Amino acid sequence: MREQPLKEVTQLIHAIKVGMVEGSYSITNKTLDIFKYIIMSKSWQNADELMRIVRAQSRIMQAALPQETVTSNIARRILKLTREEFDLLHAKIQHFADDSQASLSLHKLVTQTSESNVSVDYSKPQQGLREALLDHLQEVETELETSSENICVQAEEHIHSSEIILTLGHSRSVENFLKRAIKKRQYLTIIVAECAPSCRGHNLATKLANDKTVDIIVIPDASIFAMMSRVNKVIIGTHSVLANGGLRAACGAYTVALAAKHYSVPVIVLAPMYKLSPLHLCEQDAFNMVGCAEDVIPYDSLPAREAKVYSPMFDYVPPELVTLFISNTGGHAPSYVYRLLTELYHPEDLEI
Amino acid sequence: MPEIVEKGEEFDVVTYFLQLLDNDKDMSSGIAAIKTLLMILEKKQFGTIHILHTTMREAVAAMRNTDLSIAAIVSAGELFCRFITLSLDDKHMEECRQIMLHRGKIFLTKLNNSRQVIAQQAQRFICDGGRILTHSRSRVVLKALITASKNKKSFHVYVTQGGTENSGDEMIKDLKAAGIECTLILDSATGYVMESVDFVMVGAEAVVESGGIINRIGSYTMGLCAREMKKPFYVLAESFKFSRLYPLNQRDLPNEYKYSRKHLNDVAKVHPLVDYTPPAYITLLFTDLGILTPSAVSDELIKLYM
Amino acid sequence: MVITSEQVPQSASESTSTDPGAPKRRKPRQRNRPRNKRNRVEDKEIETVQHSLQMETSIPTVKKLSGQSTHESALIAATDKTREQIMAEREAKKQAKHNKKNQSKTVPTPPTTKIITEVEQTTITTRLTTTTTTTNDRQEQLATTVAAAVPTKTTSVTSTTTLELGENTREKIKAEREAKKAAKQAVKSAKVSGGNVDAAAQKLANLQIQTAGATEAAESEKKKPALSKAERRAIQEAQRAAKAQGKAKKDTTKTLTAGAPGSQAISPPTSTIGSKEIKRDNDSPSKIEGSPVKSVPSKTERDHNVKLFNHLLCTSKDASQFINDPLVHPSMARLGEQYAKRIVVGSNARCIAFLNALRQVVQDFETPAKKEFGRSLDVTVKHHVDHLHKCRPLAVSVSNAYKQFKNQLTQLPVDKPETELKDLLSHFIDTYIENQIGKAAQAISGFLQEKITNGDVLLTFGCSSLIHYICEEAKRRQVAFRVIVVDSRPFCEGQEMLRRLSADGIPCTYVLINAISYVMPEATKVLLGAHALLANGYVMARTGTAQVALVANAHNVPVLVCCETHKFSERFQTDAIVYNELGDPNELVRSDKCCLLNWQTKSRMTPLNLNYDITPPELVSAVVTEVAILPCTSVPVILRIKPEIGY
Repeated sequence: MREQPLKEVTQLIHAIKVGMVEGSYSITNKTLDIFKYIIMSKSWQNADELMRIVRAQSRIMQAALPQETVTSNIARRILKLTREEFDLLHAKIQHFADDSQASLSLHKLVTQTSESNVSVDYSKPQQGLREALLDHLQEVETELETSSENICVQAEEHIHSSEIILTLGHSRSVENFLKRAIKKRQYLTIIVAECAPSCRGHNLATKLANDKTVDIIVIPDASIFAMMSRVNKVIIGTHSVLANGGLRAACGAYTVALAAKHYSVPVIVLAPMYKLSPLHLCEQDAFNMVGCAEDVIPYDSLPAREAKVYSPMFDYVPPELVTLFISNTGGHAPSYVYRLLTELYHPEDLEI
Repeated sequence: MPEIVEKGEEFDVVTYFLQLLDNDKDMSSGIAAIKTLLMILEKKQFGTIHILHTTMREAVAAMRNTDLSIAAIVSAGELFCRFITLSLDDKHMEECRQIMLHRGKIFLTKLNNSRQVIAQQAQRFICDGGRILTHSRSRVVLKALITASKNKKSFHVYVTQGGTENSGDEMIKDLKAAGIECTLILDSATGYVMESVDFVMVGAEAVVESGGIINRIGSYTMGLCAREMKKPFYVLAESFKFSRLYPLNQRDLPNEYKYSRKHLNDVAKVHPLVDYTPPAYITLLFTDLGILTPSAVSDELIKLYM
Repeated sequence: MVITSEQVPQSASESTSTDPGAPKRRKPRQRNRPRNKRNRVEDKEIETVQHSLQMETSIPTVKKLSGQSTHESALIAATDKTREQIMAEREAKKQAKHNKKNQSKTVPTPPTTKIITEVEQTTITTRLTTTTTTTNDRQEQLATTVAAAVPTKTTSVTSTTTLELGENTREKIKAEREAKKAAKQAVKSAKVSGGNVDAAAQKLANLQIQTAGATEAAESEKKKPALSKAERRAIQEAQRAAKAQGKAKKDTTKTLTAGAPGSQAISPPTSTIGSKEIKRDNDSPSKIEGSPVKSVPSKTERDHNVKLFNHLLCTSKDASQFINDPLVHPSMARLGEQYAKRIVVGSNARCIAFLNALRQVVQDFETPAKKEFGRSLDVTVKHHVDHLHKCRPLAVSVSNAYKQFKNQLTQLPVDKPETELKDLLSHFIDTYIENQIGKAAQAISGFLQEKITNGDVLLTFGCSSLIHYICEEAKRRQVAFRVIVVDSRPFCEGQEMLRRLSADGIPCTYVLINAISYVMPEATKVLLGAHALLANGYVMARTGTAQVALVANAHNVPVLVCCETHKFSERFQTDAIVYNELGDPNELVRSDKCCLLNWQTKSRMTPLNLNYDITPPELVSAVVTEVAILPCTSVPVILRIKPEIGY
């Protein structure tokens, strides 16, 4: 059964593909708006229908943009919200001792009182569901807006004075984080790896260099290993966080993480919660995507006629190379990501 | 299920247990243990919960005395005992029994399905043209591989012999019967083969609290090689195998796990049957509770037992 | 255009002098020539020409001295000992004192100025610090590639000083007019003679004395009393210089080395006098910092330096400063320019180019009278090597070749005629190239052919002539393999490698270094070239090599480093910062639209362009040399047995 995409969904997909909307934050915002619109509309009568609509639209978006996992993440959040609100309102007898309603666990396995308890019947119409959902959505929106600020306030706890920090490319979270650190700490040196071929590191460097109190050094990607021996910390952003604590980050992040491991330099990853995705590395047919090769070598150059040129966008960084995740809810070890996932999403929603 | 010959109140736990396993080669010893315990619950009369507890423990002890590897039996038995005594109100004994029986049956149904769930999860990780290394014979892994092959994936499996019992040969036979390409290799050839495989997939006899596993001897070596060669090491285990043990090293593993009953007196002369693989060497655990990282195992156990 | 090692031999003979207008000149002959006015005048004229040319080519760093520049262009330094010259000398001293005052704040440099008069020459000397013969440097800087006479040294000195002084004193104008006259006369003369050397030496001596005496803050008036003292000293020095004329030429080579880093100050050729020691910046290798920043960093400029690399910083890179050294053979000067402009890159290419130029030098060398061939040639070659070092820090292959050549010089038989000795040396050079580079490449390729099998995917980084040779061989043997070329900004040498491999018909893939984890799973072997192998087993290669080895290790792909034994170095270092070569930071700026375009305006932001990095031996599986395939830790073994192999 092919689902029909909503008009707004098509528009958003188009905007993202064309590049009018870029950056995980804006995509998440826009997706949230779409779901809010769906909730507010009259097209559903009970929780089950709502969930089906949300799932359908999310599947469409996922098929169109396999790398942008934030869309499915938001959809999963909405689904979990729906379930929670429904259960609360329904006031069923089965209230579980802890939050294991969301998770399949041994405990749950062992304490089932009846077979049919496992699946809640969502098709019962419920009063006040819409309002409750909209309220909750407001909270989610606020959380989204303040996620950057919440990460920045932790800058003081992780950076001391006279540190040499290495970063790669240009990440909004990292930029704000470092700006906060510059304000609070003295004698910082920040080494920015330019991350060819887009060289977005140059943008970050120029933005940070406006402040006169910090030394900025711009290095090409090839010098990362050479400079790593003098670096105290590596702070990078990421595109998304996978279920095992690994990262899908900008191309080049794997090299940075490996070099940091070689010199035992801690790698701190700034990742707001909406980037957490319950997918595993292999599960995605399209983990990586290849960008325009023109920046790597011009199309009209002689050797480019016969050579294959690649410009991949992402890199997988395994969890053992990451020291710490800093998200808007605080710091976490990569081994704890599974727990954050169980709190964020319902296990039945792992596959939309 | 075989008919129980009731000699009054007598009910031979061990015979029943072994009969179950004889009849169904595919059944895990843990499942058989639970079934046995359920049968005891059904057939015997108890005055108080305390007597029930004691009977259960005696039964588990009896089953441990068989020559099979006891890890699964112990963990399954422990889980069963735990579960039947959970949230029982102060009701009449008979009511309790009915509730417990009911729960037990659900539990069993769920557990019977666990292998299917695990196999389903592992599908995404098995790709066309993949080369998989597995250790000796594991029914869960077999099920996962057969399901993958039914989904029209083509891959190659390397199976180690698995020690003196030649369980690797049986695995090869089963795989060939399912039409999967496979090769039998010596246990000592693990290091040689490791650089050409894509990942390692093994079963487990028990999953311990640290997130490590207890599995047939040779798994630890395989884990070490896989880590050195940077290959993923996947473990397929049902959830009833989660155990509260916490071994610190090979020596710390209790003897009864390592050696069969008859050799317990003189362990110096015999090889252990199982070894312990620490969690650092394990990439992911596939269980019916989901795909877990080794650190999540402890979380599960804590939730259950506290 | 990048000149490869293959192309270098052909181009070596071509004239690619950067000075378009400079006529080809033979190396000035070192001979005792009577110092007379005529000669000096001739020299002056030549210098004028050189100066004018130089002015055009030099980097206009002397903005402060704008006042002088116009004047200077026409002036020629006079090296006469005539009355007018003495007067000019006095003026020059005054100017030099002025200069010194100004110089302390700014970057002195450039030689590009014009030599005006002796006065100016003396003033230049004010900048001299210690002994060294930096004055010679100055002069050499000023001279064009056309072998200028020695006087050019002095003229350059004067011109620089005049420029720096930026003053337009009456004396100066007078001096300039005199210099013009002298220059015209000098132009008429055909050759530069060794006598110029004497004159120059004497001049230098004068200058030195004067600089020593001059104080920085002294105004022109104050210069007078100092001048007298300096004059007296100058006379003394002149006398001493007269004795040491024969050695003047050789001494100037020393001055070259001394001149190097940091101090653009011209120090008088103390070496000629022998009294003062030559200041060598041996401790810190002189790195040419490509930025247009002045040599003496002002406060804002200092902000732009990466503190970690302060020890590597050098004064402004101004190749034309010393490109007009009269003592430098045109082929060497051309080579220096090629080095500086990175036209010749790659250790093998640089080595071959160097040896070819060296052969030319040997052929054209004429032993000065009463001198031994071997020793005087040694001094000459040393001078050239120092010149090259200033253009761009010497590659390990080049300095090893030079060491071998020096060895050979000491072993020359003394009784043979000069032509025979020259033949011997040429033969040695030819053999060296053939054995150390040519045959070694064949041997290494032979070793590796066994390792390259059908279906192999080789990954390589940057451009290495050796790796290209190996791939060519493999293709010739009709092995079915493909190559992944990994490249990095800002050098983008991989494009050259890609071009060569595609021309050979080898299927290639091309990525930038950040995509290396994307292509590494496909690779079966990694082949890397090296700049040098250090004695503790570390591999010194183009920046980025260490990263490639690191990722290869993480994917269990064997890493093979191909390195001929002539690149083995006795140095040892553990990280890439303590010794490196800093490139031009502006190369990191991508285009006009790049936001780094105005990085100089933002204080405390610096692009950093490292040339080399160090790969630890645990990341390297094997080193392939022509002797054997070795583990990385066996480099000291080869160093030990190398002398026994003999060349």
